[in-house]
Amino acid sequence: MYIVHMVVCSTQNHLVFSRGHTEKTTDPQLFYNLYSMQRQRYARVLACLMLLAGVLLNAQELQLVYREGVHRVDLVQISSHTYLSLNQIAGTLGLTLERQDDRILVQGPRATLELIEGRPLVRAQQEYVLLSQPVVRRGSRWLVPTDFVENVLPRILDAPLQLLPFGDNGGQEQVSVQVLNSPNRVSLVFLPSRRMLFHVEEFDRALQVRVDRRVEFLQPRVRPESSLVASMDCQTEPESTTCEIVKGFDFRSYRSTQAGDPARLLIDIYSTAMAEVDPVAPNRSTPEQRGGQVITIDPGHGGEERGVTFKGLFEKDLVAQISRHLTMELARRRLVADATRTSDFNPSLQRRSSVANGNRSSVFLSLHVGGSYSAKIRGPVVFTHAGEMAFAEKAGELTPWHQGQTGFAAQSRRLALLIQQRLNGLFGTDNLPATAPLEILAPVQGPAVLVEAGYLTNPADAEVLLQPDFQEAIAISIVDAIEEFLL
Amino acid sequence: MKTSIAALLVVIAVAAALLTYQSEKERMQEPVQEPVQEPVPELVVQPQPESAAEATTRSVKVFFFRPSVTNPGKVDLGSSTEEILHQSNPTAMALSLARAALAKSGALVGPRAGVEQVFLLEDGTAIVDLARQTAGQLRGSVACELGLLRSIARSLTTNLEEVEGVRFILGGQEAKTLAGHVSLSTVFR
Repeated sequence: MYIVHMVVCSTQNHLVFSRGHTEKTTDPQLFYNLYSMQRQRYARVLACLMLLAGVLLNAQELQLVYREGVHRVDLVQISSHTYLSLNQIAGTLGLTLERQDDRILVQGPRATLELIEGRPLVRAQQEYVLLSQPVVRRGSRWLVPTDFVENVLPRILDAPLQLLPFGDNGGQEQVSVQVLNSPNRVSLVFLPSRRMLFHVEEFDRALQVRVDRRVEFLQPRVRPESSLVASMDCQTEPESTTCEIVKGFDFRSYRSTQAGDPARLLIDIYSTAMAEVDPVAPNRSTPEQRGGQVITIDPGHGGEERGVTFKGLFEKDLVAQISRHLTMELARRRLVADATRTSDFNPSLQRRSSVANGNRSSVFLSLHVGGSYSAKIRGPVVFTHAGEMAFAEKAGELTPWHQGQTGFAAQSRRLALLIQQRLNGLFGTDNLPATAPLEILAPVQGPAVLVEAGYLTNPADAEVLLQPDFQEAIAISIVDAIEEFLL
Repeated sequence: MKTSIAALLVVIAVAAALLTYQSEKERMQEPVQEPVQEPVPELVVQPQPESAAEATTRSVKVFFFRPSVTNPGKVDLGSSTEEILHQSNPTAMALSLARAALAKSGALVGPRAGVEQVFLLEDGTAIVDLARQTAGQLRGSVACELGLLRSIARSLTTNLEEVEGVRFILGGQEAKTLAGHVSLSTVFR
């Protein structure tokens, strides 16, 4: 006979029932089933208890420093990600929440944010900010990842906001590092617990941030985009602390600024030439004042995508060579040049257009050479985009991706005509500029053209296109036209 | 204090996990009936040619790209009248027309280029599915690429009143461009 009673089990034949009664059975199978069922129930109860205790012990808080007030906000753990309650933040900072089906509007003193349930994007005025995790809704409670506070909220507040970990740091000074990943850019914000001077130095493979005292660098909660920042390593020594920001493969330029109120160091890392542009320089006029203008050059094709091929010549190689001449010529005339590729690979068309927009290019020029099954076709042709541009630009509205040329069509046509005239003079042709629905130009928000600098399939054009002097002459003609356009 | 409580919790958690694992393992050993999968219906409809007895031909205007020596950027389309097999099914007719237009532009593309399918939508848009190899077979750049697409589109819109606009896909999937230049999100008319 097997006895099942209410004492805590000590042998395989004893079990505790939660309802506290005792059963007797002679059936070994029934006993085994009861025993197995109870064991599962216990395991679940224990696991729940442990989780509850763990949550209570590890319950964390953060501090929001806003308008000289320090407010505590609770952290909510979902899977392995940390969230904050938007309702609690709004209550603390005096923001208004307005729910609309699957979205919520957050109204601040300066602007309004729009969040959509299940999406990691926040619309802030005319920009979208990418969060590290999607926005989550639990009943009437909205949860946002922690980088929402650091990267999004300051856009709608009228005073600086700081997010600090809660707890005692043993008196040691701390620097928290915040990360904002954007297309073509990573922004690093170093927020010290007390005002201090940062030294930033660039080396071949890394940027070094140094502080002449012993501080603790707090790891960022969001990882920087690895193509721009390969890694971050901070080391504390008795007299100083250094933080090494190892450059990613797409690192192109950086800009650092120290600001006060609150004291902080900002480092913007770009995959484009943006940092080489003087942000305060006017956008026009004399050569000495050209700091604000970026000319983005896009050498067509690349990698396995060879473009037009003729007698062992590849379009991708020729346009890369001409682009190098163009970049040098632009630099010689104090114009900032950026290229969508500088080696033999094929970035997507979307990425190429993104670089143009990321640079806020004064001119975007996609460089190609033409090809035709007829060897008689020759000379340069400059194309502009001719697609649907029905989008009516309104203040505060975002431009759809494929309608970036809306508002720039006339400028693009003028630029095309100027380049066409100069290149016709060089090639001795009378070709006219043309239009086509071009995937690469459609999204560019600025004057944009696609240049076919001669036909590789024409023997006369192919012969001159191979000559470095002629390639340089093409570059000079194009830059002459760009200069005339920018005047 | 916190450390010792945490350690105790870890021990409890491990014990609980072990118990759960063992019970679940026993449960899993019971045979589970697999749900019966319904066969997925075939969605692709192949246009069927008419029977040989009813076969008649129809005169159609087929367009092709004609490069211009004086103005290489201009996309000039020439046309010729061709006799193709008449089919009462407009989808089958559209497929024949698209293939005829591609064949007429033979100098532009290599022998492996082709039209796989044509789908007619209710709003008057024809979706032309080009063979994936067509992209690599194109001999030319922007004007040639645009010329090829426009010649197929014009051949369809001119000869079939059901077709008002044409969109292109590549190898059964949406693609950005055919050969790196012209946007395939465009509706050609």
